[in-house]
Amino acid sequence: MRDSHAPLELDGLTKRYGDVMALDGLTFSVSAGSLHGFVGPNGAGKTTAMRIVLGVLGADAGEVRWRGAPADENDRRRFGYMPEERGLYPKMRVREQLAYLARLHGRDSASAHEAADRWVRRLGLAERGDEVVESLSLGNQQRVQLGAALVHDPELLVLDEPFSGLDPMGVDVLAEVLAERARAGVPVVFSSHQLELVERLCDEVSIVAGGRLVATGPLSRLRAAAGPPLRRLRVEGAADGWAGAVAGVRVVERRGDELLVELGDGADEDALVDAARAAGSLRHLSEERRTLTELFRDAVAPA
Amino acid sequence: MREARLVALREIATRLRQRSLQLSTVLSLVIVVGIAVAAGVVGGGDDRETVAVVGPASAQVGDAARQLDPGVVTRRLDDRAAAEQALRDGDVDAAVLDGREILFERNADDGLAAVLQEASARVRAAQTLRGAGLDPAAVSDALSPPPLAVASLEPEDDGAAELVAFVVVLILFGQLLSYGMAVATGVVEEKTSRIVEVLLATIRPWQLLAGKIVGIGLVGLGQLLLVTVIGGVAALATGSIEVSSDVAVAIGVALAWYVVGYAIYSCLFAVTGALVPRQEDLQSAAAPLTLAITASYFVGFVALQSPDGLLARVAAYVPLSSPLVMAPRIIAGDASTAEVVVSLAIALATIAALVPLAARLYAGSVLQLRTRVSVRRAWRAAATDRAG
Repeated sequence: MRDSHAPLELDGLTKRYGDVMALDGLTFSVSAGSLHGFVGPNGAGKTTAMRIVLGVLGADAGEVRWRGAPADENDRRRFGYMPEERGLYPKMRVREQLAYLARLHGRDSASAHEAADRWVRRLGLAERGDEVVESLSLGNQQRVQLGAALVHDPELLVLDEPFSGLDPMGVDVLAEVLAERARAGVPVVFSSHQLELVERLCDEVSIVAGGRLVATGPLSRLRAAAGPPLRRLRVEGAADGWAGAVAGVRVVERRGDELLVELGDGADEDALVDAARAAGSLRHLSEERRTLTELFRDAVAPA
Repeated sequence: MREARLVALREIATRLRQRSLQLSTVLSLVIVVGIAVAAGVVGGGDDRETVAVVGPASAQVGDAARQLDPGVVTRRLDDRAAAEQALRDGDVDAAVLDGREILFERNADDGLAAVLQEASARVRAAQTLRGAGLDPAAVSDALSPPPLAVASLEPEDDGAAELVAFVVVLILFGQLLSYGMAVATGVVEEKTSRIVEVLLATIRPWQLLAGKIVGIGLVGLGQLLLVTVIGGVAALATGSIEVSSDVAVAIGVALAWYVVGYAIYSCLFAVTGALVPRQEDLQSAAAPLTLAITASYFVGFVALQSPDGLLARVAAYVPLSSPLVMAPRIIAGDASTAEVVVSLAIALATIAALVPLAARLYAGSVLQLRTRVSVRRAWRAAATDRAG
């Protein structure tokens, strides 16, 4: 499973809080230049895993590797992080705050101020740059928070629920910025409960439950692995049960004239079309992709 | 170190802009200068005494009195009525009338009266001796023998040192309490604003802690320096302290023990702040520390009153109280060199032990944003929670 070329690798991360096993040997990797969605039910260990990647927390076992070697302090200084609990100095001015954070990440004074200016403009906060953070609207505070994760041009971005609490415009700005960073070759990992959004934005997804990895990889591969291909068709004037008689075909869902069927082993799409036309009038036939939501449900609750 | 320095610089820049700092500095200056001026007035730092002289015989007595006591100033007045008026107005302290009578407004000032009596006796004696045909130069020699050397077994100063010690305890108490509390509040602020997780994704807990403590401490040190120097200058100007080296020593002692006391208390306050989730919980959590500072403050006064008491002697060695007890003892001249050395050594050893302890407890608790953390849990968490 492990891709030896992946810049970020989480390998067997284990973390226990008292009796609670927060992470139980979590392993996955994030490719360069990919937007990687990190999904799982509440309490699956997403935040714990991200904190360990950033070194805010130590793992009981396992390691985080950056470009093939265990991530150290110097590597982590070049990571960008947005914690689930947003945090800024409420009484510090926006520009000053971003410049300060850039300096903590190792920038010199001049380049820190230059970067702060650039991100303030990029995030549409040019007019708010000299205001203190607490005077900003929540949406604008979120933008500053994103700026805090990006101001030092990180080589890896780790964002915990970055889309929560954003209005649709904010979502667009953030999605655009993340896609742009990914195009620039930066691996971007973010967690989210908004699965449609993850599906729309991400190239890769990892699904965790109970501190373990359930599935990981490019979405297309996850879909293929989830089960046989699906077809949605509408056949008017057909009698019940025609589809089930076709070899290898299983009816998943039926609503009036509309059917959702699985093409199992030995199933032939042409045979399905022939059977449909024999049974009635075929009005619609399309390929149905499994949504991430479905993959997620199947993966997390296999029973 | 670079990270800690950046944190410290941010603390300093942020705090220098705060109105509360400006206000507290002004308030401290008003108090210190006020005490200096009041002491100058009450303590009679101006010990000149003006004597009205009426008539030529009185003038001779006045001249003799000026020779005897350089603090005496004479003023010629025309008659008894003018002298009485000047006494009532407080313009003069005493009046000599025609070389025969000394007049005070109310009670006779024994010291001044003695000087004037002596002056009068000399004038009379000189007249008598000259009348007997003696050489005026010989008369003068006979009447002005070299003064006896004066020494005392236990020299007692004029109380200026005690006054300075009193003011230093007062200021040290204020600085330790307010800047210690500022550290705790600052730590809790970073927890409640959740910025601490952003910061600790970049820098290590000890860097954040060290930067915060040093930054806040330097602001406190700067304020202390400003207040003590201006207070010292005011005390010298008003004459409540006469020797400028006394002022310099007092300022040096105050600064040194501030650094020692702040180092101890700021570590404890920082850990206290890291253990609690909200500002509301800080007051009660920090109560033992504020109590310790306040108690030390009172012991500092007791130590000034009875420098040889058991309380003063013991408290001088206890690290929590020694800054507020030793500083005034040194300034008032109550502490022996050995006592200073031992007390300082204990305090420095305490700091050396406290710094790594505080760093560990801070690291083990500062990311616990929702619940109060016990010291034991913080200690254990530091071993396991933080990445190496």
